[in-house]
Amino acid sequence: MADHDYGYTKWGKDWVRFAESLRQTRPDPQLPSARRMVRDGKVQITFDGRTVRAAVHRGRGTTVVTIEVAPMSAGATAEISRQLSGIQPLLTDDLYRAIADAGHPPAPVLDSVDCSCPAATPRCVHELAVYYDMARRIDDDPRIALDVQGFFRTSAGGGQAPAEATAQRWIALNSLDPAAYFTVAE
Amino acid sequence: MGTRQKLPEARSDSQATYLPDRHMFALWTWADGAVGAAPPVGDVETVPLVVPTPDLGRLKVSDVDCVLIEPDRLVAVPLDSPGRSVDVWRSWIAGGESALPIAAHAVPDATGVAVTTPEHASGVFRRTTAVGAEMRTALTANLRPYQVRGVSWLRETIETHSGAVLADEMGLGKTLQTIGCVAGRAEKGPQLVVCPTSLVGNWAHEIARFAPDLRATIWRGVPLPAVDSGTVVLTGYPTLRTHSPALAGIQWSTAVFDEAQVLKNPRTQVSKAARTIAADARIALTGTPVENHLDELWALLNLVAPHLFGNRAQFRRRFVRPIADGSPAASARLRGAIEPVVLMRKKSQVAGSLPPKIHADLICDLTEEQERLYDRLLEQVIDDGFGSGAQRQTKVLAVLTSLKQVCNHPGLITGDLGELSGRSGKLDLCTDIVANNLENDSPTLVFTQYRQTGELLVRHFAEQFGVSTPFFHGGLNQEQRADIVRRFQSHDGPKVLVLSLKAGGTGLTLTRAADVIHFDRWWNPAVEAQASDRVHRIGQTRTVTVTTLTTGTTVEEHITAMHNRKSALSDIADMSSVAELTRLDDDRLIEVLRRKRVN
Repeated sequence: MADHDYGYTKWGKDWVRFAESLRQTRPDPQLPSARRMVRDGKVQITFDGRTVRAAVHRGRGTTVVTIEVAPMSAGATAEISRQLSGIQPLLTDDLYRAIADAGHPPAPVLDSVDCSCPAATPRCVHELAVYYDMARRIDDDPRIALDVQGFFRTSAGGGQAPAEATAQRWIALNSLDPAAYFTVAE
Repeated sequence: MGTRQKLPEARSDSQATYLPDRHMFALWTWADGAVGAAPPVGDVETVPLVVPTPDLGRLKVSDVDCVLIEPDRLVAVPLDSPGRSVDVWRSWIAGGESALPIAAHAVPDATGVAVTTPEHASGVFRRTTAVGAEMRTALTANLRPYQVRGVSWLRETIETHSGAVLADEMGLGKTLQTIGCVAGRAEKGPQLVVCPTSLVGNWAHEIARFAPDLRATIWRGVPLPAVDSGTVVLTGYPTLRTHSPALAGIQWSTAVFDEAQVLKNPRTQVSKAARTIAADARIALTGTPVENHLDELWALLNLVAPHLFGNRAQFRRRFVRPIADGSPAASARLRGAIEPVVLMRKKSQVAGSLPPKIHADLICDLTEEQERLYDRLLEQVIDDGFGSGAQRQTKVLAVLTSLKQVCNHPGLITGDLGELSGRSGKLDLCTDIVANNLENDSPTLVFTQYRQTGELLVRHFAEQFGVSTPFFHGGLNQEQRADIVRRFQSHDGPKVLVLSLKAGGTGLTLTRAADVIHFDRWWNPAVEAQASDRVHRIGQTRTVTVTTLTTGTTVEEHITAMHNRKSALSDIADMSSVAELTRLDDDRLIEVLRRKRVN
């Protein structure tokens, strides 16, 4: 039961996999406490493009975890844009499967993971907690899974925009130039 | 504070932002790096818009004082130093296509992180303007701007998602907007409307009235009539449940589900039957605030656009649970997620294009029990005759009264008042409306001429909703009357008040309610109007909705027809209509009273 609390969508599941690798054969005693930290709200994540920064509070101390996510491959970006064109307002599991079946699994790749704690183990509990918290957030809103891989930046940034998104409905606030608010930009 | 450098033209400019959902423009001003007072051209209301921060460094969502006007008025409305956004929209109205500055399309999304694209805003404006022109010839009604948008929205949404939920608040004309959409699809094949049985007659009536070119056929489960393009088949949910196999094999171009909250439980037979209907487009109509009933919302979404929203369990985890836990982020996310297929507008949002009073004249149907009783009463009258002289008038009046009571509820005549639901089309419809108003926290007045009917309503509301409803009638003394009025006007007073038309029709101020239902019809329209004015008085700030319930095919229709003829003459004595009937000979009189069979 408990293990279904995180990653009940396929999009979130990808992040649970970082904590619970399929290759892992022995139970990791750090996992339950990492999950408890998430449940107790000890993890605070902020995003900066493809960088995930998390302050993890444990005991009296706070450690900072920084994760760099690799940009999504051009092929996957194109495939997802194609699938998303107009029709799919929500990223469902069916859509995930369709994208994976087309040969572009949207699972993220991590470029680097860094934690400020002094633990000598290859994986510390703070890092694991961040994976679970990411899974939780993505279950709530799968767009984060794409956003953190730079998907919306490439497609909104013009230039390389892979989809001819017909009459796109929304445009991100932070991609607009406030100077063009009252007059039309040249 | 620091750098307020480039603000060349920012001295109290008027701005115009297009609101796509309402097909109206929000007019506001920008002065010295901040939002100014709304231009003095109408009532002010606040609308969330995306505006720059004072230093023009960032954009953020904030509540802006605006005046909302319809597109027709934008060209001529007097504005001080109109900004670029005003100029550009005026040129669009004249047929131009200039590029829009952000101010012209600054409507934020539900989560406040994005803004409507200029392509979307201008596309909606152009298409809706075109639909408006088309509707002027297709329908015999003048649509209000938000209704025109409703029609164009239904079209766009059906095209992209093949399903749509129109969840406008009651009284905004969902039926009319749907007829507008249905009329435009007549050539694509036969169409189907499923609604509560008590509303079938009303749909037939409204289609005949607004889109006379459509052929509406009522289907009650007998072999299905031949259906082809231009036909609209109307049927009730019970017929759908029991006769759905007859519909198999027909490809409908459109299937409309009115009061679709009936289908809230996907496991019921009627929901299963609804899902088996093969249709190119499915439209669900509901007036209940869907955000308060998320399981119900999921069922509707699953009916009209099953491919869009994952399974129920995920929907629950993602939205239902966090919203129940009080997460505002989750409800914003939900609004964002359903926005492509759900259009939901409130009276307060479109008040600018509403008259102060909306009239909803609903036709309800007789149940079989009512039909039998009505015919039996009339048979007896034919046998007995009406007599002559003074006795004749008394007799006519007595017959009219009993026939009208049958329309209200058959139990009033037979004395069988055990179970009330499901026996009177009118009572069921009235119950639906009151249920809706309770959901919306809109207190409601229900007027009736009959003491017994009033008591029946009070009892029925108690049984259905567990609310205690005061009854204001002639048998109360002055103190009791004053007490009812005072309690009703207080902030947490009763949600429903039943009044007798005679006792409660004059003098009182009951402005806490903005909804009035006339449960039965009175001969003189002025009396009804006067009663409706209990809520439509000084102190009323909302749009008043006056609903009349008329039972189709019966003498009540005759009364309504008389209203229409003489609503201009308000001084006619109440009883002159009855006197007029008395003067008819027996055969003609029976003809007036007899049920007019339809189809």
